[in-house]
Amino acid sequence: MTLFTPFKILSLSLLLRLSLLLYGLFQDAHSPLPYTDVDYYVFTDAARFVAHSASPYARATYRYTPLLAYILHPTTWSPQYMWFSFGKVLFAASDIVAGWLIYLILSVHWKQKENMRALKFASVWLLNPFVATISTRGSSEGLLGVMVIGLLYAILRQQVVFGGVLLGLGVHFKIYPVIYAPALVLYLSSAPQPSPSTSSPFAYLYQQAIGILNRANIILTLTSLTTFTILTLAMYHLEGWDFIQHTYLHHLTRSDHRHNFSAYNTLLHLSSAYPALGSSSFPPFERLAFLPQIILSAILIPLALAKRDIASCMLTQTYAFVGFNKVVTSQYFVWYLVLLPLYLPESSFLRRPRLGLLALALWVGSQAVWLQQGYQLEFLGSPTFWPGLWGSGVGFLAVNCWILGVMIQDIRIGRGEEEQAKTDGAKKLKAL
Amino acid sequence: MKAVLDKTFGSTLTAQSCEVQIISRLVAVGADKLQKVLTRPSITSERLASSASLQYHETSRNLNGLVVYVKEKLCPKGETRCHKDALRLAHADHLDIDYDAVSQTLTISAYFEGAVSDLGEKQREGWDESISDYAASVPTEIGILSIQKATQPEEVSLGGFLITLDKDKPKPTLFSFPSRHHAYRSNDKPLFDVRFDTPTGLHPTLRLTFNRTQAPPAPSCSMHAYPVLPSSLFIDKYQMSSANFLASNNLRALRALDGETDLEAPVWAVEKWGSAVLLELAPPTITNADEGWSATVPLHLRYQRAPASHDAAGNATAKDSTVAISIPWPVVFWACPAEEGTKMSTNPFDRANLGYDGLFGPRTMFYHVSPAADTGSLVESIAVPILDPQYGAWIEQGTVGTIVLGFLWVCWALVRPLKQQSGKALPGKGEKAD
Repeated sequence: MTLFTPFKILSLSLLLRLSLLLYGLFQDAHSPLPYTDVDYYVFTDAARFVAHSASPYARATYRYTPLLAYILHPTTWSPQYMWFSFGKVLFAASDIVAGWLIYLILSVHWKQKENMRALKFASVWLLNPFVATISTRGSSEGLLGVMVIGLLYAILRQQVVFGGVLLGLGVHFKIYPVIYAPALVLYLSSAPQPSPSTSSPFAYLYQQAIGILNRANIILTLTSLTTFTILTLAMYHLEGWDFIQHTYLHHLTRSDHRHNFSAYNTLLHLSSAYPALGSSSFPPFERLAFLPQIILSAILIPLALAKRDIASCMLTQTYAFVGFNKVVTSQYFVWYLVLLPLYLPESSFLRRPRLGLLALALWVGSQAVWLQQGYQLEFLGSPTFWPGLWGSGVGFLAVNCWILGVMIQDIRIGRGEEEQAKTDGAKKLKAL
Repeated sequence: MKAVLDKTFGSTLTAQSCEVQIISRLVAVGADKLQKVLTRPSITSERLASSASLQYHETSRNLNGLVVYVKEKLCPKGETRCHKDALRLAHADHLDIDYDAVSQTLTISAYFEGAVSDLGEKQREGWDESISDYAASVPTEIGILSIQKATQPEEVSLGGFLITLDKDKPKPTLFSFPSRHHAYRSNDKPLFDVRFDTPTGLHPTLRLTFNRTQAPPAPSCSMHAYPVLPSSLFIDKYQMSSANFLASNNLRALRALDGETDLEAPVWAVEKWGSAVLLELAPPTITNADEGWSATVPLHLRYQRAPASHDAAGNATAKDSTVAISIPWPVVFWACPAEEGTKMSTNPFDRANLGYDGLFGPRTMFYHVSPAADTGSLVESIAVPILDPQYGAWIEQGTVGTIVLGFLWVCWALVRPLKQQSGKALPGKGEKAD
């Protein structure tokens, strides 16, 4: 008897989320420190405003599409003790669906007898306590997870229309999935896969440019743009400029530099608090902060990796996007965690356990240092902005860059015999 | 507003008011800027004719600025009596200023707990002072009154003598009037103390400690605290909506929150002066009156920055990367409904527009709990950690350097030739894939 049957794993993941959900209800009822995430109160307050025909932006710090408030409308129904948790149930269910899609994508990459292996990797997401906690506390990242995995699944199955709709929806929700567009376009192009033997980068670019204009890409572009435009216009029609301001522009103009994992944080804090300091002595690097992030995640990584392995390419794009972002909180890690099981099977972190353990230790360790410094600041009032928080933020970026380098190398090398199995799998997926 | 109100109606009392005609130029701040800084309180008692419609608060360590203003701008030239009165304002225990735009009348009411000599020294015993007449056009009235037992609970009764200088002889007087403000008295004098829990961190907790459990003046009364927060501190109204959370702080409800309520912005990004908070406390039911209790006000700090000026004080704070911020002690009182038809404004010593009174109905009585006076200043200070600008260049270069290196490292990983690398790292596998 093995633990790794789809029924058992799905039951376990359901059980895990159910127990966390019930535990959360208990803690919320009895403790002054709620289990429920602050954001969940933001969503549900916004849903209540919407239910009373008011603007969801009447709730301070609601920075999401009104669509989310509409989706969470049932959280306003009575009896509240049942319906209030509707959103958490929805987010946790999205998690499980995402996990199931991870399994489907993985299992067709291997032969039937290796389904167990696919399940093991899918369990990295499905049975991940971090993921289950985030969604049962009421954070909406699970919705993004299922959209992104759904997008990948649709594209792998050549269901480009569905993929385009999901891409448009994802970008409407959280902007960042827009980085997947260039990767998917390259993946769907008819140009040959790049190889290190290609004579010059210009020849390579030319080949790509010709191959991009095909039916699949035109469909993808049209459906995603249409979905995005319809949703955004509809939300603009409903909530007006507030929607644009809070959902999108806020991220460009925000001046709250509460400490977070981002390496940029201390610099942004500095230039906001002491603008005179920056104008005279150095160029405004913080305004160019998006450049390394966009160049890597939306241009260079897709160019190099999209044709090799679209799933792992999307993972590295997300990893680069989050790592180089101006704001990094642990919820953003969900964005790449959902794609991680698709890369792990070919990862040198697993083939060389020492390397894997080192990477894990560095990734966790640099966050632990940051958390310790953050605790000193937040609760003990020590001025750890410099060098503690700055150093750990910058150190975390360095660790992320190193991990990113290893991942990129893995993907560029490919997996030999597994590569072949994967090609077979992709064919099988298309046939499904 | 930080008055020790139970002493307002002590055994001796003197009230002085000097009314001076002024041209409307009290506030010399630009009107455009002022509109953004001021806040609009959510006044409940619209019928209170004189309710303030705008609010501003700033902690001032002394009244020297006001003294100079009164002396130089308001006192008639060569009027030494006015100068002396102005100088004494600096020693007032509380001071109210009222300006009526219609009649262009400025009223300054000062309250002194004891006599103050011309040299500014407080007399510990007795009340010894000479009050001479102003110019004949301005009458000066002196009353020597003591508290009598009032017949109605909402009333204050005073008896003694009144005299208008140069007019007549002292007249014996006994009069009663309903009063908005009363001292909260019980057999043992209840007091409250205010402290920040340490360490304060970025989420300081303001603790109001009561030395004993208090019975309400009447069953219909409820106990409140009115903290006035500078913009450096804020209260999260969403956090205050959780019943469990409120109960754990011995609070019943957040009754009013006016002013700056942004939950994220640093202090340099907000324009309003701060916020005023009316909290209903949840005092425990009395089991043992000798037992003290405390209520806590969970606050949050905005990010602060080093002061722009590089004076001696600024350098001192920059050294340990903290800045000091301070807040006045909140007033704590029981709010009780008064009988229909009670006219509080007939009180010659009435104080209105104190911030919290407008948040209650016009016929509300306030029974004030006394702050523990032995603590000296009724202001609490905390040190707030800041990002010290002296490390600016390091932060700039270190951040940009790491990001550029990291970026180049990833770029290199994307383009570097694979053969040697993969050959070493993964013998047998890499070549096959290539």
